[in-house]
Amino acid sequence: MRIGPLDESVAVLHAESDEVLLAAIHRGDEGAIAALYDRYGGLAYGLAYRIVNDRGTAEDVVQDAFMSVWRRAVSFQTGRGSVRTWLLSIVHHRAIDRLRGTSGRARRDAPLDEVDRVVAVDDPWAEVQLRVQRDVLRQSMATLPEAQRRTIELAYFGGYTQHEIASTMDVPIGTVKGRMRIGLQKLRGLLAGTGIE
Amino acid sequence: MRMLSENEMGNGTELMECAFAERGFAAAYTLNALDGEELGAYRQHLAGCAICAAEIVALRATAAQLPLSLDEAETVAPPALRARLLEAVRTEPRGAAVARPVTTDRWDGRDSVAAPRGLRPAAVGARPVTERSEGPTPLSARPRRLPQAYAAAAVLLLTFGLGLLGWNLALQREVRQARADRDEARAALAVYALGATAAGAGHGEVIHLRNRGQAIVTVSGLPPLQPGQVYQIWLIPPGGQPEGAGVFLDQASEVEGDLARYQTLAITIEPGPAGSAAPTMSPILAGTIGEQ
Repeated sequence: MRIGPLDESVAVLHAESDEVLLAAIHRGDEGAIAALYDRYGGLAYGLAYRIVNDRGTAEDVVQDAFMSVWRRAVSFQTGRGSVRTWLLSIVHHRAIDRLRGTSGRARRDAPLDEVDRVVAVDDPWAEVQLRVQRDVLRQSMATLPEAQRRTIELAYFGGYTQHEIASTMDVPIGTVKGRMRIGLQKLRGLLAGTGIE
Repeated sequence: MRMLSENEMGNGTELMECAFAERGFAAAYTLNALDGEELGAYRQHLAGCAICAAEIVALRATAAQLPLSLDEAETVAPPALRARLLEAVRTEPRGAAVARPVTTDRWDGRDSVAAPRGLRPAAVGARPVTERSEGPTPLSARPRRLPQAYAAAAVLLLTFGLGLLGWNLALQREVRQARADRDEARAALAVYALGATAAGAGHGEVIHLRNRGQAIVTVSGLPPLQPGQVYQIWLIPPGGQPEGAGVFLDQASEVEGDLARYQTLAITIEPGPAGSAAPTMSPILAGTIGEQ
């Protein structure tokens, strides 16, 4: 078990690309999974918590997702998208499963728990890039037609099924799916060339 | 799934369509919003549809950006969870055969389209600012007569001392001129703000003279340089690595090249006189440039 040396190797790994980290994870490098957590654990937890609205459940979901990456790094092929996409897709899927597995829907209007502040990741370059990416994504979302944006948000962050959305927005199921497709494609077009993916 | 005939397409290219994809099944599936009988039916369809598989890969990448819209205060990873994760990882070393129940993770092996990587732009050729501080013509090249030698020397010293100031004045003149022309030539000029990072200090501005393919960077309040250090400018393309774009000592610098390819400008402190090939420290000042 390494303690001090692990921290040092993690610090070094912070500067490596996602693909390099994944290769190291595949080789069993614990520092690499720690570095990946440092990089994306925040987004993963924020997403999970937004959906399940429960701290313990959100932590379970995030842990499951990273363990999945730890076990299955070998089966991931970079040609199918980025590591971040893979990780957040697992988080989203697991969080939705947990949400729907419980009796009733956890209301989203409960106040956020007090979260322990984490010392900022020691990589201000990532901070700069992330800030730019956040701005671009938010601006792109804002340009989507209201109906499409709302549909996507209800599904992605609210965990609503297509039937629940249809009921909430009082439109047919086909319209819900159509708005999802057009909205996501439009978003994809807006994000193209901005370096997000 | 039906194939469009050639006369439908017009250009002779075959285009395959999928009714499921067209009706948004792939999108709903990506958002985990598909439910009921349609979910089961679509899963069966997915087993044999490359079109849907490709659309899911593409839309999944887009959907994975949505967490970026969360507030920064929400996206803080619990430190206790990090320790818990590392503990779990230690008790389950890679390569160990672990019997796990089959998960419902849908990242299956049928995705067939590779996401194209962005092209890396060529490095910007930037003239180091240190060249500009050479000052006026060297003394040896000036014709002089003895009676005027001292006068000439005095003029030379004064001019050399003013060299940097002269360059600064010229730059400031350009900045003033650029600002004065701003209303008349908005398309030719764009101004972006630079802000201090957590590790930095000061503020700055990038004035992009599009017609001339130049930008003027003005800064103030930066952390002071130690002897032998310089400020270095970095241009960062979307999703790419920082590229050096010149060094400077004072409160202003020029950058030449096609700024349109870059998304971010950052400044670090590097060893002089020419700076570094890659940043050796975190940025002290940064800002978004280019179209938003």
